[in-house]
Amino acid sequence: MFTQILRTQFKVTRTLVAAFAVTTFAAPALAWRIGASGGYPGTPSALAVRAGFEPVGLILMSAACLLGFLLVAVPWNVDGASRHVYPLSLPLPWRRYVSMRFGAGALLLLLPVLSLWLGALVTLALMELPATLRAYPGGLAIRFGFASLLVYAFTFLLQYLAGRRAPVILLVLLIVVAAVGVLGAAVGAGRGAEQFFRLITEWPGPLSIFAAEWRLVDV
Amino acid sequence: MTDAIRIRDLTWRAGRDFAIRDLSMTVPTGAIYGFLGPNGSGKTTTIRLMLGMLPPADGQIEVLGHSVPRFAHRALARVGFVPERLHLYPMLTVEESIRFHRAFYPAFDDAEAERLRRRFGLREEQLVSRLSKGEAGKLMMLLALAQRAELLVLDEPTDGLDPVIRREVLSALVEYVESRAATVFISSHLVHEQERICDWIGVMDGGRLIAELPMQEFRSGIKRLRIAQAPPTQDAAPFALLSREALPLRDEEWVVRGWQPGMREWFQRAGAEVRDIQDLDLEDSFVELLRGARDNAEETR
Repeated sequence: MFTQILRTQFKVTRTLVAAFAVTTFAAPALAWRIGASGGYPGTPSALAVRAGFEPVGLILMSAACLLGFLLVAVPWNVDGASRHVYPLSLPLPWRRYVSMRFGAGALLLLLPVLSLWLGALVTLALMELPATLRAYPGGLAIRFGFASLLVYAFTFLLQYLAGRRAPVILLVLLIVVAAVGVLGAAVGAGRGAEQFFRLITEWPGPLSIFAAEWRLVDV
Repeated sequence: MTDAIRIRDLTWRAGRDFAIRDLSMTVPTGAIYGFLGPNGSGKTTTIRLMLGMLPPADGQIEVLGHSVPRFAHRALARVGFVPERLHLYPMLTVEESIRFHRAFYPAFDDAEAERLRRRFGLREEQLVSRLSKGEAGKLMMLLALAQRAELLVLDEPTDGLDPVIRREVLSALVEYVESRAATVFISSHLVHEQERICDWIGVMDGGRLIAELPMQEFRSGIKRLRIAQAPPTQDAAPFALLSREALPLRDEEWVVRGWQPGMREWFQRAGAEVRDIQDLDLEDSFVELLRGARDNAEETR
């Protein structure tokens, strides 16, 4: 059963997963090119390299979020087109079907993660790292994996619990988080909003993974 | 004989506009039960409730001895379901759809699936999203039949199919029922189709089951009578009056249900005379049943 669900989920999301796998594989090489091509003239070599990985880290973080979200939304919409009649008519408890769906999606998440790790290893093998810098290919891939899994799990839970109301709830949550962030920045340190924002974005807050370092190379 | 489906006092509501009210229904094991009703009468909703796809507000549902929705998955393991619209995954091919479906049904018969695929002219590599309406209907029927179900629940399985495909699908169904002694619950608004294959009839209208009876009774028990000097009321009549209309020459036309030959005497005792008795075909009987139920509902309001 699980194999068939995995196969179906793969067929639904294979283009998406392939696009993310290519992106994550190419990201370290892209970062290296930005740093090494003198995108930051006049800066020391190690700083240039480190700075080159900065924007790509942001791209990777956004990609992790988007990947987690789309791996829930796309299969859900395929089932939703027939009002979930097929999964509901299968002879297994809904909870079991949902957990298999979750497992299948989580397994597919691994492909872009592995691809990022391989891309990082290939890039590191081809580049000459300045002596003051160290590379963290495994750390970056794990961070990417956890971030996408976190978004995937949250979106999955929301989608399967709230159904058609999920997009509205998600939008409200995003607005609340953004408002708290803006308010925190506007009213200054020590205020409630800023403290709350720190609480969720600093370790062990649930969103701390997004505020961590997303560079392949660092000091 | 046990019942394949037993529903008691089922209630379900969707907003203010539509509700299933106090629905009770019994489908005997081995029967081919035709579930008739106009569009929007609640047939599909009843089927979804019956298979545990919707939670009832009240009432009891038992399918093949399993309480639904609690043990719907146990019942579903023995039920072949064909919904009114294509529910299969559009990105799978015919062969992949069969493989996917087979994974959930241990009794799935590969040889039968292959035989039906050839008989229905479905190519293995055809994508579900590219199937015509007829081909999609045949694929859904193939899956339901190949899983060796004890109960087939078919929601408008031939709606929109051309006569040739409709005949193919129905003959595969009849062969299956003959070979497996399965129970079939078939919902449709195509009255003549039901007449050919069903031995029980349930009629649904406005979220209520307005009649449930053996096909023989449905076919022969609904009559149109021409009556002279018709009595003003039909209280204590041994039949159910579905409608009455005035005719020229002070005659009246009554449509009655549950008519038996000996019932002329009731009219004689009331000082009336039955001048003519006409058999109604199934479609007319269906229309009269609906009309009678709607008139009664109006009067109650």
